[in-house]
This record gives sequence, structure tokens and C-alpha cells, in this order.
Amino acid sequence: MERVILAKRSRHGKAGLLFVAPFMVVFILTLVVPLVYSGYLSFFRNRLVGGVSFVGTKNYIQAFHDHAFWSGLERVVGFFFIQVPFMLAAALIFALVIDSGKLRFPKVIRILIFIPYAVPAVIAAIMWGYLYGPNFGLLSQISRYLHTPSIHFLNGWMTLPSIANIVTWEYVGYNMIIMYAALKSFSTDLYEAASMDGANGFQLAWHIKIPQLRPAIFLCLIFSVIGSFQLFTEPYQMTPLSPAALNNSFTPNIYAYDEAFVSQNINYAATISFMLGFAVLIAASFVGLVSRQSRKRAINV
Amino acid sequence: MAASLLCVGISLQPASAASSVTASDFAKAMNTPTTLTYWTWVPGLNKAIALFEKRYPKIKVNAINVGQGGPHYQKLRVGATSGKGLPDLAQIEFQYVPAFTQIGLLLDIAPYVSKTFKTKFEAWTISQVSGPKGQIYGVPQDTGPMGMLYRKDIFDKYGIAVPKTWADFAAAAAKLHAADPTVYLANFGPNEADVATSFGWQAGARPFKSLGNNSYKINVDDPVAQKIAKYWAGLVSAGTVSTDPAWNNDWFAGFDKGKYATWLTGAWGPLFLAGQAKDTAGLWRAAPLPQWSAGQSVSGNRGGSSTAVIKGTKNPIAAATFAEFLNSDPIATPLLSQAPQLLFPASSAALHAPAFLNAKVAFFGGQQANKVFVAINKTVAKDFAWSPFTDQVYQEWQNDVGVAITGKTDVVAALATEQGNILKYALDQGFTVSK
Repeated sequence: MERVILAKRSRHGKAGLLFVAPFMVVFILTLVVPLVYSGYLSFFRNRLVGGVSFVGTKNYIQAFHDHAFWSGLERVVGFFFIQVPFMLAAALIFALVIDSGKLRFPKVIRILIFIPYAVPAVIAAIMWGYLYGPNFGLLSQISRYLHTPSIHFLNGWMTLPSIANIVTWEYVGYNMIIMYAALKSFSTDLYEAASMDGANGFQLAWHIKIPQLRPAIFLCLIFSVIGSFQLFTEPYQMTPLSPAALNNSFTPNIYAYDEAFVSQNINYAATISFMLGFAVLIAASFVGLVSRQSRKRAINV
Repeated sequence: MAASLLCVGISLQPASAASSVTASDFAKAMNTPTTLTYWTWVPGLNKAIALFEKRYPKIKVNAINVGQGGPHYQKLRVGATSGKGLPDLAQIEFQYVPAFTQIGLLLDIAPYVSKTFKTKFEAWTISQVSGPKGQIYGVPQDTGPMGMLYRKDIFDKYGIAVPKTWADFAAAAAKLHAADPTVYLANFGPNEADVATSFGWQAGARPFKSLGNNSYKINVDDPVAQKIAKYWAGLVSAGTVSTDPAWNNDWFAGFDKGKYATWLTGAWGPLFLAGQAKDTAGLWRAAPLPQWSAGQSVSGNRGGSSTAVIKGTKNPIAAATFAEFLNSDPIATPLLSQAPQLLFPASSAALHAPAFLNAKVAFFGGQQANKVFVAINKTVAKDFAWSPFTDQVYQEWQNDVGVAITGKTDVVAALATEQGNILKYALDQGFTVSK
């Protein structure tokens, strides 16, 4: 009897491997191989005079002491804290409101909130670049018309919030959909019981829906950590608008790109990418840890 | 070497005799069916190429656009590392020639070009593509001698005379901005490292000098550079020039809406304005750059490209012959000065062709703008040399000096920082450096 079951399992196992194979091939070729090659490159140097030489961990030691890398990392961490809470709160509120059933045309509103996600990041940056233009951009034209002082969006302390605004606009729909999908999967029995006990919509959301949404919220949080640490497209695309504020080490990814394609230091660029990767790993693991602790606490309650 | 292989008069085709190629080698190369690949972002070369293919029916040329600027050079670099996928010819801007001779990608075509090659171009253009031992690394194609494009209507409205010296220019800037605070005489872009470099070229700055054997003299903060930086910092502090970053929508709109009364730029400037500032057509005029001393007549260059032959090509003779033809043939080259390219040619013959020289340009209200720039072209100083890492230099200028000038902080200190960082980069890359 056991041998029959084992045989069945191994046949299913083989079929499973076959189905996964196409993905694994592409995954290995496009993700693992470049990753390993990049890691390999980060242990070498290629100088204009002298060519390629093995330098061991010298690049990593240099990156460790590189002020440009650390200030960029500090900036994306700051960016995470000013952008993600707003975006996730907004996504949560949108998802709850659409799920409450009290909205007219919920499908249309869902699509409208999601559309910015369908806009490629480069186009979004160009569009917002026009809006932000300090002399002839749309927002400054409006403020001139209203005789209010025009705001220099990509200047000084306003730079990061202005970029955070664009990223929030782009991704709030994506996060909202994740939470909305989770909401739709909950059983409505609890809601009926609560309504019979006299709970209104807000109490339903706060006491029943949100606690159940914790896993979805933490999923969005991990995506946001990875996304904000890797910030590149929006500030890079808008650099011509404000090259002093959006300098070549504004974020670690911009720094790596600059090292590779302006300074022709591909090896050091690989090193910076790995340093950033380690930072993302640490941050994402921390979020995962907190998520598990909160789940344990929720179960023990 | 060259002398022993001189051939005179014995050529199968009506082309100038090549300096080091025997008549039979030349005939053999130009009569073997060959396809040349030419990477360039200059559009519409088919007419000029057709003329070449008519003269040499066995040679076919494929002009391919692999990207403009950065992506084009990146592909060349990848090809240089892998040894594969390289074209026979490539467009290389003057400011990047040393970068590509550094990695050994450009073929010395001195043995393959005609004996009269050096007479076909202004001397300063030749020096931009020459090596220290008489090598020729490309055929000059177009140049960008620096001039001043100004809005005649704005000058007339506020009684501004065309400034002849930089002192005049500063005074005019103050007068104009006082009369109309929404207009500036010029814009100083914090990201226009190439413009700052051209100003230095005009004023006698020579930041890089190759001493051979990967040894360079580096001097980006010499007294000339300091003079120029302090001059522009002064105008910025006085508020008489704007400091908008260049090459974005806001800046384009600035021209169209009359925010900038002049544009200090290369001879290709009119083409750009005609496209971006259509509303101001007919209102611009061309004039020489202001000078540092009254009565002087010196300029710098901004931009410009050459056609280079890539080392490792299987068809050096055919490629070099095509490059020379494209950029100096009396019938083919003038085609490049017409739409859609509208290049300011490097070829002296094309520059002095009456149709080009005397053309009354509508965008300039009928002024013979080309004549102005041809005259300026003769005054570009000869011995300006680039580093083999121009992108890095521009980046450093932008980070240090551009920020200081527009941020109204100490520009001399910024120049010293720039010098220090460039020295460090050069040493890191294995060069020997000195001041």
C-alpha cells in the first residue's frame, strides 16, 4: 500500500518539475546568471590603464567608506518613511470604502485609482516633470494666475516629498488592489453578526476588516520596502529639471548607474548594487520578523 | 613609411591619391564587393551614400542609427570589450576621440586618406582628430564654433547694443534685467559643463595635455578657469542672468516665450532654435561671442563630430575612402548642410560654397548667418585637447562648479575640489598625472 502511494507521489513530483521547468530556465538565465556574474565582477577592477585585475574585497571596503553610497541609502530610507505610510493608509482607506458597498460606481472608481499604475514610470516622470516645471510648468502657471508664489518643487527640502508624491500616485492603486482582493476573500458571516449587534461601517472596518487584512498589509509593506530602497526611475528621469538637487548619487541605484555608465566603473557599480541588495534583504527580513511577531500576538490574544 | 609608398596619378577612379596605399591595393579594395557598416545618428545620409556607391559600385554602405550619444558610445564600448559586433565606421564626437583612442578602438587612417587631406579642413579641426605622432583618428564631419545668437527685437526695444566684450555683456545684462525683470540676457545652466568648457577654450584654458605614455597634465582650476567662473558667478549674484537647468521642457519654453535674450552656443544652435522656438522665427541674429579684450577675435567650439574607422575592420581602405568622401566631396558633403541634417560642415570647401556661405537664413530675418559662423570658425583656437574621460570631467564640473556658481558659494574652492576629484579619478584609473 505504501509503495503505491510513494510511486504516485514521485510521478506527481516529476510532472510538477516539468511544469516549473520553463519558468526555472528563464529565471536562471535572466536572474541567477546575471546576479552571479555581477557578484563575480564586484571582486575585480577594470582601469582605463592596466585593464582588469583581481582586487578581492577592496571594492566592498571602498563602498563601506563611501559617503555618496551611505547618503543615498539614508535618503531612500527617509523616502520610505515619508512615502509608504501615506500610500498604504490611502490604499487601505480606498479599499475599505470600495468594499463597504456604499459607493456608487465602485468598479469605475477602482479602475480610475488603478490607472496610474498602468502608466510607465518614465512617462509618469516626464508628465510630472512638466507639472513641476518652475517657470512654465502647469502648476506654476496656475499659481501665477492666482497670484500666489510659485513653489520650486524639486528644490531643497521639497525634493523628496515631490518625488514621493509621484510614486504614491503611481502605486496607491496597486496596493489598493492587493488589499481589496484580500477583503473580497473574507467571509461575510462576521459582518452580518456585527451588524446585528449594531456595528456601523466604520466599526466594521476598524474592528473586523483591518485586523484580518494584516497579512495583506505586511505584503504591501515588503513590496514597498523593496521598491523604495530601489528608487531610480522617477528622480533619474527628472534630473535635467533640477540637476543640483537630483545629483548623481541621489539614490544608491542612481549612484550605481552613474558609476557604470559615466565613470565607466562597472565593477564598482556591481559592488554598490550588492550593498544595496544586502540593505534591502535586512530591511525586508525585519519587516517579515515584525509581521510574524504581530501574527503570534494576534493568535495569543 | 609613407614616403616609400607614394603613388601619383595612377588611380583607377577620379579620387585624390591616397598617401600610403599603392594604386593596385586601392583598386583591389574598391573593386571587391564590400559592405560597410556605419553607426551614426545623423539622419538622411542616403543621398550622399548613393553618390559614393555610384562612384564605387562594388562598395555598399549601411548607415545605422544605434542610438544618440550615450547609448551609441555604450554599444561601441561593449563591442570593444567583446571584440564582436563592431561596425566598420562610427560617428565619434570630438570630445570623445581621446576616450576611444585610449581603449584602442579607432584606426589610424593616415595611411589611407588622400595626400591633400589636411588641406580640406580648418587646422583646429584636424588637431581634434589627430594623435601625437601624426595619426589621424577620424575625418571631421561637422563643428560647432561658438557664437552669440541674440533677439534683435528685445535688444532694439530696450536700446541694448550688441556686446563686443564680456564687460559689455555684463553691463548689458544689468541694463536689460533692470528694464524688464522677466527677461534675462542669458541663461547659465548649472548642467552645461560643455558650455563652460567652450568658454574656457575661447579664453585660453587648456585643462588637459597628453604627455604620452598614459601621462597627463591636468589643470582644470588654472587662472583662466577661475576668471570665467568668477565672471559668471558675478552675473548670477547680481541676478542679471538666470540659472535654469538646460535641456528640459522649461528651458525650451524659455526661448519660445522670450525669457532669454541671447543664446551662447555653437553654429548648430540655429537649427535647434528653428525647431524648438518656432514662435520667435525671424527675430534672432547671429554675432561673434563677446571677447575678453576689445578688438580680439577668438572663439571656442561646442560639439562637432568626426567619422572614424574602427580598428579591426576588414576593409580599412574602403572605410577610410568613404569617410573622406562623405565629409569632403564637393557634391556629397554640401548635402549634409541641407535638411534634414543642417550640419555646420567641417569641410572648408563646403563652408565656402557660395550657396552655403551667402545663404540668407529666414530664421535669422534674412541675415547671412552662415557667413558669421564661417568667420567665427576660423578663429577657434587650435590646441585645445580633451581628456580620455570627458563624461567624468563634465560630471565633476556639474557637481562642484555648476552647483557653486548657481548656488552662490565659493567658486574658487569649488574649482579646487573639481581639480582634486579629477586628479583622484585619473590616478585611480592608472594614469600618471601632473599639474
